[in-house]
Amino acid sequence: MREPIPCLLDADTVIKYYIDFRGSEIVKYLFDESPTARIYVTSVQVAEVISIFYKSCRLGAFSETERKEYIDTFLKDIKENKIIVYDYVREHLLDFKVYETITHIRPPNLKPERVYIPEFGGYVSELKDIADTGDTIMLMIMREAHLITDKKCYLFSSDGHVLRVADALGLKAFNPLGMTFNDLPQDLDKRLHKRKKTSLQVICKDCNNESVSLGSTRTIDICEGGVCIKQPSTPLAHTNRVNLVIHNFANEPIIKQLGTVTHIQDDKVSLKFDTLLASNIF
Amino acid sequence: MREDKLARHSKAENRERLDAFNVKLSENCSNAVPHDKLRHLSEDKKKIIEKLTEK
Repeated sequence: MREPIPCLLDADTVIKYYIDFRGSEIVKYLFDESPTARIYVTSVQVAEVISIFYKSCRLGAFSETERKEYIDTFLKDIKENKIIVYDYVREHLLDFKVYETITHIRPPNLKPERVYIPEFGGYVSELKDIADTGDTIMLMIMREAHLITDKKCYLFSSDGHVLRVADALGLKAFNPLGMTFNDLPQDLDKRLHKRKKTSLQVICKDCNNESVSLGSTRTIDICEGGVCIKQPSTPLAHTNRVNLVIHNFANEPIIKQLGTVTHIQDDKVSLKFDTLLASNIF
Repeated sequence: MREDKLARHSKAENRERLDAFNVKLSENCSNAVPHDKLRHLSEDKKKIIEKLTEK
């Protein structure tokens, strides 16, 4: 049994679970497929998420009926503990010990970036938006969660400023916008085995007839339980069964395995092997 | 402050159910739908929401 790992999400990241945007694949994976991720939001961000649904409705993105559906589905997820609300008031404002902890947090050493402006022929300091209250609370909670869990917790946000502050504070933070499944930390991954990044040649063949080639491609990473490859010339679909022949750098076939497609993201395909490989084979 | 705003404010002040959020959760969330149904928004509508959320 793997230990649950707290993942604190900001409001904009939570929205990606309900509406398909860039980065939604990662958020859906955390919610529905990761065996360890436990989704947390702060109580302040519950209001923020609901407010986004209201604003979207006012701007014509959906009807009143749809707005009710979005909000009630979000609340149902909270009710069913799919999302755990971190009660900032109960956990922090009423616990005066927390203020002592906060004073130990060093202010992040953030310097404004220097940007060259050709019209002026010189550099100016780029102004940064200050983090809003919700973001500040989230970062404070994350700082404490890091101390309590010995850094076994993650922050997910696509807000550049939050990510910079998190980075300066040494917090483990991820931006779902720019990442792939391979960038997810190992302990959130449903694949149990440690992956090794490697680019080996793979020949994909029909699972029922080995003489039918589906194309040659390269591995992105590999582990005892499966492999991630680039899409071959005949595109693979979810649940497809494939015969894989993986070659080493001397172009000798070292692995012959039957695998099932479990995930597809952009041009990357993850396959689970039918039987585990020996760990020393690759 | 306008009268209707005052009335709303006083209603909030006198709110008896301080655990209104938990009460709302304990109700049925009757408008909830399967997640897949929510994700079928058109591209232009998605863009409106994406603009709201991306900083």
